Amino acid sequence: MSCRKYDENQILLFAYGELEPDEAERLKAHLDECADCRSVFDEIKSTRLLVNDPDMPASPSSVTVARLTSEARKRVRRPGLLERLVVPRFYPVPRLARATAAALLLAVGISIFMVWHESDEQSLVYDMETFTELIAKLSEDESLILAETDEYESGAQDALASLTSIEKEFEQLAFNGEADGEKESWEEDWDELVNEFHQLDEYFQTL
Amino acid sequence: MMNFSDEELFEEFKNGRAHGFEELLNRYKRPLFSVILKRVRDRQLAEDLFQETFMRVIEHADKFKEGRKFSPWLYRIALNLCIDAHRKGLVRSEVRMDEMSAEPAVCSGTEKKLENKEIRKRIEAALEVLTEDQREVFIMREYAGLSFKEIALATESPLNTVLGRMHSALKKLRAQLGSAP
Repeated sequence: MSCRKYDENQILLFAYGELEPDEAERLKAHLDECADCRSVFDEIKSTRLLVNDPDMPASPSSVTVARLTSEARKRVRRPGLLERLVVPRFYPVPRLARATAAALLLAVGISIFMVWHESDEQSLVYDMETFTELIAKLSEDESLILAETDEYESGAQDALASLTSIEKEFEQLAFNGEADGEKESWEEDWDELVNEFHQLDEYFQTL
Repeated sequence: MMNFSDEELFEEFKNGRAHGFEELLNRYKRPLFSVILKRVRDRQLAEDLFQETFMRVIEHADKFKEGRKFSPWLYRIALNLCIDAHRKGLVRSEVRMDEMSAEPAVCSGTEKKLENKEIRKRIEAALEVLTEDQREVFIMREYAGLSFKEIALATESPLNTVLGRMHSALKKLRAQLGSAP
C-alpha cells in the first residue's frame, strides 16, 4: 500500500465501523481521492460478502440454555447452613468461609463433648464423695454403738464383780453360822442385786 | 433490560438477581456459540464447551473485577476451553457438515436451505486454510460481533497484531472463495 496518510489497519477499522466518528468522516472523504485506499476498502467489503454465512450465527439447544438458567438461579438463591458447609459445585463459597464454618462446628462439638464428659465425671465424683461420706457416717455411728456397748459391758462387768463379791461374803457368812440371822437381809440385798443384774443384762441385749 | 450494558447486567447477577445472567445469556448465546462451533467444528462438543463457559462465568462471578469488560472475559474463557479441547484431541481435523447444521437465520423453503448449506460448506472449507490465530480473530469479529479491541483483550494480544491477523485472514479467504466457482 503506497498511501502515506492512512494504513491498512485504519481502513480495516473503518470498514468495520470502529473508527472514531470524526476520524471516520475524514477517511471517508479520503477514499474519494485515494485509489490505493479505495482498493483496500473494496477488497475488505467484497470478502465480507463472500464469507457471509446465512446460517450464522448458530444457537445452542434450548436444553443447554435452560440448564444454565437453572444453575444461575441456584447461584443467587440464599444457601442454607448445610450448603455453606458442604460446598456444591456451582456455589462459589469462599474456601476461607468453609474452613471457618467447619472449625466453628468442630469447636462447638468439642465443647459439648467436654461439658458432657465433665458432667459425667462430676456425677461419678458426687457418688464417690457421697459414698465416702456415708461410710464415714456409718463409722461414726458404729463407733458410738461400740462405745455404748463398751460402756454397758463395763457396767455389766462391774455388776458381775459386785455379785461375785457379795456371793463370797454370803458364803463366808454361811460358813461362820452368822448367816442365819441375817439371811433375810442378805437375801433381800442379794435378790435386789440379782434383779439389777438381770435388768442390766436385758438392757445390754437390746443394743 | 435492553438498555443495560453487559457489565451492569453482570453486576445485577453478582448482587443476587438472576435476570442479569439470563439477559447476558440471551445476548451471547448465538455469537458465542457460533465462535465455539466454528472453532471446534462439532456441534455436540460446541454445546458442551458453551455450557462449560457459562458455568465458569457463574463459578467465578465473584472474581470478575469492577471496571473490566464482560465480553472479552467471556470469550477468553471460551477460547481457553477450545484450546484445552484441542489439546485433549477432542477436536476433529475434518469438518463434518452434517453436524454443523444450525438453526437457520432465514428459512424459506428447501431450495434456500440447500443453497445456504452449499455456501456454508464453501466457507468452512475456506476457513480451513487459515491459521488458528487468524481463524480465531476472523470468527470473533465476523460471526460473534466483537470489536477488534475486545478481541485484543480476549486473546491477550496487541490491537495491531489482531488487525494484522484479520488482514491476513481476509486475504486468504478472498483467494479461496474468490477463485471458487
